[in-house]
Amino acid sequence: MRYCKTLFTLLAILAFAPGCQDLLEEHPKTEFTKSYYETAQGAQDGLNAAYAYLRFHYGVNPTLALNVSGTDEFTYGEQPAVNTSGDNLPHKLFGTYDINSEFGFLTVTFNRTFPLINLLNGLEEFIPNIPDMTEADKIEKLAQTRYLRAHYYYLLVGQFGAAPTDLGSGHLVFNETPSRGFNRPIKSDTEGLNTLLELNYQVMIEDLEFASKNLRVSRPDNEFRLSQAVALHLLSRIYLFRAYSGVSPNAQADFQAAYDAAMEVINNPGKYGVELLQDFGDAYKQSKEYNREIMFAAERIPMDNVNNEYTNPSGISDRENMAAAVFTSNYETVSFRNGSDPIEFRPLEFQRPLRKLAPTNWLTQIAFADKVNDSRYHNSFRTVYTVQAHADPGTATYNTWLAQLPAGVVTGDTAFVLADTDAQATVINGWEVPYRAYGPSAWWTPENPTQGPQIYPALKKFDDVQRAHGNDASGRPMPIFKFGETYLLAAEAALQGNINGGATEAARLINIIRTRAAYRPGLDPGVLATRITNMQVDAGDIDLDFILDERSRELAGEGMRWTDLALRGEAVFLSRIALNDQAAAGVRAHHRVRPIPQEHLDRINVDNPSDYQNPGY
Amino acid sequence: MLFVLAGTVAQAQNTVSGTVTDETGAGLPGVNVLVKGTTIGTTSDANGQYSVSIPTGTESPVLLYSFIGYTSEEVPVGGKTTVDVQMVPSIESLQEIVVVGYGVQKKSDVTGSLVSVSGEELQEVPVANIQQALQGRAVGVEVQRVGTAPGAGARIRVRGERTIIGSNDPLIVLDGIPFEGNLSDINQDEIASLNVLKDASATAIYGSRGANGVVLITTKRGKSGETRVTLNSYYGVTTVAKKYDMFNAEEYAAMRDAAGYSDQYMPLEVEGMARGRNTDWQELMYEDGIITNHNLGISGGNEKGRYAVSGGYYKETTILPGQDFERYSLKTTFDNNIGERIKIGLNSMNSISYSNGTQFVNGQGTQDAFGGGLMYPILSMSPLMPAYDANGEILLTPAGNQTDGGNYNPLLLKSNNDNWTDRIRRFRSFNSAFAEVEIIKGLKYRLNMGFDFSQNNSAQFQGRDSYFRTQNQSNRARVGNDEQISWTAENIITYDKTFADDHRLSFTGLYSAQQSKSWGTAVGKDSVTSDFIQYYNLNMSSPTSNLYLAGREETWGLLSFMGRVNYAFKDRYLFTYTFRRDGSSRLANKWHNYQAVAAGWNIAQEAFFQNQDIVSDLKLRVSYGQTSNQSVRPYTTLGGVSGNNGGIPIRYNYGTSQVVGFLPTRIPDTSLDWEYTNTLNIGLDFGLLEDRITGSVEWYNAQTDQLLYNVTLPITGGYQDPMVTNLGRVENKGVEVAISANIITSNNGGFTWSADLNWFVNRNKLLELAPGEERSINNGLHVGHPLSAIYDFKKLGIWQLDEADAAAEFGQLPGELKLADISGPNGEPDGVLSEDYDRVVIGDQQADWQGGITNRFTYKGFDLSFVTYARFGGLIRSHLHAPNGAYLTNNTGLRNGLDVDYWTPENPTNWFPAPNSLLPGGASGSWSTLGYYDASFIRVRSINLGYSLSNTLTDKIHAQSLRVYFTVQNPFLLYAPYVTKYNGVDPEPTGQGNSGAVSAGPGVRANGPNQSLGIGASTPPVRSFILGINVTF
Repeated sequence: MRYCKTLFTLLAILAFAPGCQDLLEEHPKTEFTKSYYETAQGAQDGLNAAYAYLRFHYGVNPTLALNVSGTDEFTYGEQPAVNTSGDNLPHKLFGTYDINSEFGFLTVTFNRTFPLINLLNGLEEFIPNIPDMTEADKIEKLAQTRYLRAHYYYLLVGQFGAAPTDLGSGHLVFNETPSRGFNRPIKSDTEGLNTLLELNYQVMIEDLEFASKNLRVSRPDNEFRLSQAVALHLLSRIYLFRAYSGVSPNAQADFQAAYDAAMEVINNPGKYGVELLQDFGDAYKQSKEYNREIMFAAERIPMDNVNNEYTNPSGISDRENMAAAVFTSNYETVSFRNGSDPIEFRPLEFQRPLRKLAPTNWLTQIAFADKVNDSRYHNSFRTVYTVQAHADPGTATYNTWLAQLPAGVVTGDTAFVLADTDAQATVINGWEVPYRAYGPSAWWTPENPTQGPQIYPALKKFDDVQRAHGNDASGRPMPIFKFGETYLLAAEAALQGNINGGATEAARLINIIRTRAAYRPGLDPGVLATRITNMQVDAGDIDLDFILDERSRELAGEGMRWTDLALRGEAVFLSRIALNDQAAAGVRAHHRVRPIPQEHLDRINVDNPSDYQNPGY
Repeated sequence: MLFVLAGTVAQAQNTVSGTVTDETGAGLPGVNVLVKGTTIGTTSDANGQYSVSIPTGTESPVLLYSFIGYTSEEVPVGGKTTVDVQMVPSIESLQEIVVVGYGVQKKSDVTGSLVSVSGEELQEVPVANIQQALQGRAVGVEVQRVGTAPGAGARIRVRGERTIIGSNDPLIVLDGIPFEGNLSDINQDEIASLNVLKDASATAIYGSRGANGVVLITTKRGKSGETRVTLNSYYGVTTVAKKYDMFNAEEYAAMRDAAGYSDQYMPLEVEGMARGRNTDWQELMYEDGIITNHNLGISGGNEKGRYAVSGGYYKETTILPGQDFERYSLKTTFDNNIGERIKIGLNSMNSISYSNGTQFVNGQGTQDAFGGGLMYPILSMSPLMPAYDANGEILLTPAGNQTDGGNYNPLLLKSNNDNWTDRIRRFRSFNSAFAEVEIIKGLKYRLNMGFDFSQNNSAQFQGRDSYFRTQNQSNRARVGNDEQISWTAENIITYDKTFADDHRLSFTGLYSAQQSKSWGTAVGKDSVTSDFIQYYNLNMSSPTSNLYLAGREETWGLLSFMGRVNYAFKDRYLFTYTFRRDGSSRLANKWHNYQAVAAGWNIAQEAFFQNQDIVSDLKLRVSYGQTSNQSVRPYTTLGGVSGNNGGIPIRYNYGTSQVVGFLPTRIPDTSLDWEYTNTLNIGLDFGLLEDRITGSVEWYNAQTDQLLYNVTLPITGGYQDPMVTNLGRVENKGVEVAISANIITSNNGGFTWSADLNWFVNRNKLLELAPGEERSINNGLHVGHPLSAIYDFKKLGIWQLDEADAAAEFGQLPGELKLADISGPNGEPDGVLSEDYDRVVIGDQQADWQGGITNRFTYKGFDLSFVTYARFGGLIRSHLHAPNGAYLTNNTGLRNGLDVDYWTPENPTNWFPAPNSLLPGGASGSWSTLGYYDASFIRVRSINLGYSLSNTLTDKIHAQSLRVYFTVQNPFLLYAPYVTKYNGVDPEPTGQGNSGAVSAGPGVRANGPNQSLGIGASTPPVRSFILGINVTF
């Protein structure tokens, strides 16, 4: 019996023994806490997330709508015009400035920024504590951290105006305080909002000054990592915008700083690894994305749905790069003269016709009035379609389609043409060919919605032929900053700040990119020389409107136009948007900032949430 | 030969037989009869008769008769061959011993509210798991099914729902050890009894886990006596109880024409019309299923050691191809006495089960999702289309429209040549061991150890060009593994002492620790190189194919101290005080103390109550106390830095180098506290006419505050995930009545009739949400209404021809849905229907009352029982009828639908709007209001008819007892307006959230543990006819 008692005592001790308090401690294996960022791997993974979220802001349907639609360049396309379901309605209402705070598009920009700002505030605090990391590494990571924080503030300020810098635990401090408040002055407190906006500019400038000195100088050949070139480019933009903002302590100094930052890159292209390509069109060529003209891009990998975070590759949410698709018109509705179908379904090279956005008449007819000397119109828009099928050769679908083509027509033949002018269309339509040409007056526009096929020139800069299916999203990197724009920033700063001769200096810089724009491959050198001459401008041609026109020719559809107009002040904003026939009637001064999303106002716990709306909404 | 001879000789010399009767003289079945000092014994049969052989050479043999609730008798045999015994109820008369938390109590001493169901009662409803068998059997316990596939679970709610985001499931305690997870792991044959603890006095001893009630399950163990072999076996056939009532070919064409469906009929449909074809897809798909169960047990032992070993097999298939559930189980128990003072015991329960078809066949409403779904195509396909082509082969794509043109014929599922797999294999080993030592008389120490391991392995495969994957789609496969391991250690001290005769005191003290860890991995890929590979090697697939990877881990721990004092004075005045201190790993405020007090008064034992013979027992009980709910997910309070964004891993690439990202998504939640429930319970137990009628009445009021609630913080705080916090209050009030009556009794095998009846009401109400928050529409929460409130437009009917002008004011036409214009921006009806102003709480899913009645009859060897369950009041959420729910009543003409009565100019019904191929603009969102119907029903759950052979017959086969029985499960619905008037097939829910539907509708909780229950397109209800046998050797 004795051994039993011993056994019992033992069992009883065992039952009590294991440090039972340990049971109440949590040590998750698949979830991390903030201490993860105090490791080298964790800090890098934090930065990766901050890069990754740029994808929500570049190339996806909602943010393209916010940054492109309702500008002088683009209006809503044929789908939003006829269909009020899903994302079509906001496209139309943003395009006509019938804007309310309920639209989900707004939340993409609003919601996909603050968590990153919080993360980056944290990284700024945690990175210095990482053991086993060299000081140089820490500085370089801090530089990336601060660049990205500036970039997210730039996205916020560009759309919504002043943005909180205190997320709950203090100015630029990692937030660990649950709060249902909103650290932003109410709409009647104009002074307070201006003070906060001034602070936003100060934060961005300090971050970018730091980044432009401590990032790697130039990016690696085949990766879009942040470099000093990118920081200087954005710094130039931010100085320029602050100079226009009305809250600058010294606008002249800002123009000077904007000019200096841009010229630093322009004057040292070798150091910063940038160059203007000979052919404007080459900057957008698929598989050549890592060219030296593209300074920074939101990266993706072709055909890799997992890496691209696509659970639904044909979705049009805030994840899929639909940059090519949203600009594409309904080429499926075009037939040959005999009624047969030249294009079967949606061949990869013509992109998915989502037809959300259409170029304004101003863009295609006025900004690009010269379609001959300036190669940029044809390099930006697809105007000729060829006979193609989506179905693989040999399949039943393909054979059926092939059989109905007019005799003698083979794939690769012209399917239809969007002629530069009506006169050109008339000429082509007089030829004995199976296809037709459509001049500008035959294009679909919101004012001219019912005639013929629903086609207009499709922006082709983001075309992607490496997709598994005609409806699938693109896996291409989406350009954020291009070296060509650096010249335009420097030119604008020179003009506005009357630096180095002002308009003369601006004309000099602009002529560099206009000279390049004249180039087309295979052009007779004599013809090229003439065209270059025709492209030149002088100081007398230069004013802010000319520079904005030139920006459209250089940057049409590249996801920054709306911010560009909004941050250049009320007069520029209203006068430029008046060039868009659909937007002109609806646009008001208060539209220069977007409404704070209703979803956010519903979540804040204050007496009158609507006090926190932006003025005018 | 020698053995038989010896047996014969022994029998010839020393067989004693007789009848054991109860205090009324009726034969008492199940009495243990043991030859004292040996392991030889038997039990009395249904008529109380027994026969036992006394070994030769036994000196002055004595027979021991024992039966629970009766005083054991010792009778010397002398030289007699017949010994008849009348058993006397023990002093603790009618004082069954009931299982309570951490111990047992005499029923008369119980001060808390609890309800017991015996294993035999549960077996009256033969099903895969105990939840369904429990439906309508225990007062205050609501059981609603959450799936229709074999082996599917059910939702148990004890006295309503009290938490919004936490679990409302009761704590299950199996043989003293908390049992997490799947109840289908338990073989129903192994259950000896089931007790549900309901009030705070009974549950406070489980402290932080007691708020939702506690279900204590006790399994069978070996008893002293001679070795006993039992076999319980049944086999049954299941058939469709009711097919969905769809449009037939003629009606379908009429609806389609009325809808103006512009697309032309398919050529095969035109041909079908000419031939008068009427394809009944349900008839073609359904086949009879089987249900079978076999359980073989051996048990025995003596005073020193007892054992029981049993093995079981259960299988259920259903009426759709590819769906079945199969379980093998093995249970072993040992109990040993070491000397006078020490007892040790072990119980090991192991089961392995296979479920097929739970994902694909019984999945969501559409075919697109990996989940798949079979009922929707069966119900929606055109009856004008043929199922087979001219050669008698299955017609590959029989859809009656272009939209579904690529969808394959579900008849392909009837022959599965390894081209799809949908299997979950589950293994569980649940073990408990105890050791108990009596230190001094009345003082015992007991150590309980529990060890529980379970593993789920799932394999799914959809082959190329199979029913699930059409020609253009690649094949795909997914494999998952989940396991859970947990241990429990409990140290229990009990002390019982009677002072000065009148004062009985008992104390129970506990220190326990529990830890549970679970983790899982899932991988999936498409474009597997060959269908032949299935899911066995996902690496043999296209390198660029879609890769799916997922994993998870959760560990939690709980430390507890507990003390309970029971005091009884003269057996009349009872008092219980319970204290528990719990520490949980999940919360920031880890520790909390729980207390409960209860008092009882055995009125019937008072002197002033003795001069009457109507009331034989009367006890009043009052209790008040606190319990809580710790059911937040582990790690909730830690600030979450996540590699996922909305369930999608955060990834990025620098050029070709791929990386992952981590973002702080959840704010540290340092103030998170428990959710507390304070319950007041008043109960009255009674016995009438010498306890011919017994029962109880209870009233309770449970207030739950500091509700766990997800608050989405403003994004400007930097966190995108909601924060769990404590907000709001919920109330559950109710009345429960349970009565058992021996209506007709009889001596010696005459006719008897007894009945158990229960009736209960629970009123659930959300009293408060976040300050100033009246409703949270997306969570389906509305202050002042039950948690199951339904918030929607109010349907008035259909606009009729003579109302054309009124309809036009809303931009509508006769034949369209007529909704109430409740209010507008100015607080009054504004002639515009809007979601903001015209939706109201139009009802809820709470029953007005529910209850059950079980009638049992015996005559001679026959027994007959009926189990009936009724639920009255509340609304059904029928996705079937919501046009945008399951797409079976949108009447656009595109697909077939439920045979509802729709409006036409000639048929001015007010039920369904006129078919219309173009959904009227703006109206579609309001159509969910067509899906609410009266949920009332009365259902006979099962009818059992049994016959027990008499001893003379059983002796011939050397059996102690033998019973054969016939059961009809789910024989009929006595009342169900949803079925009889509104074309439903069954009034009970088929699943949660949007199960069986494309959309669960607006304002519905469609995820989390407390999803709304609804009726979708799912496997129709079945009826089983079962033949079974119970034999004991």
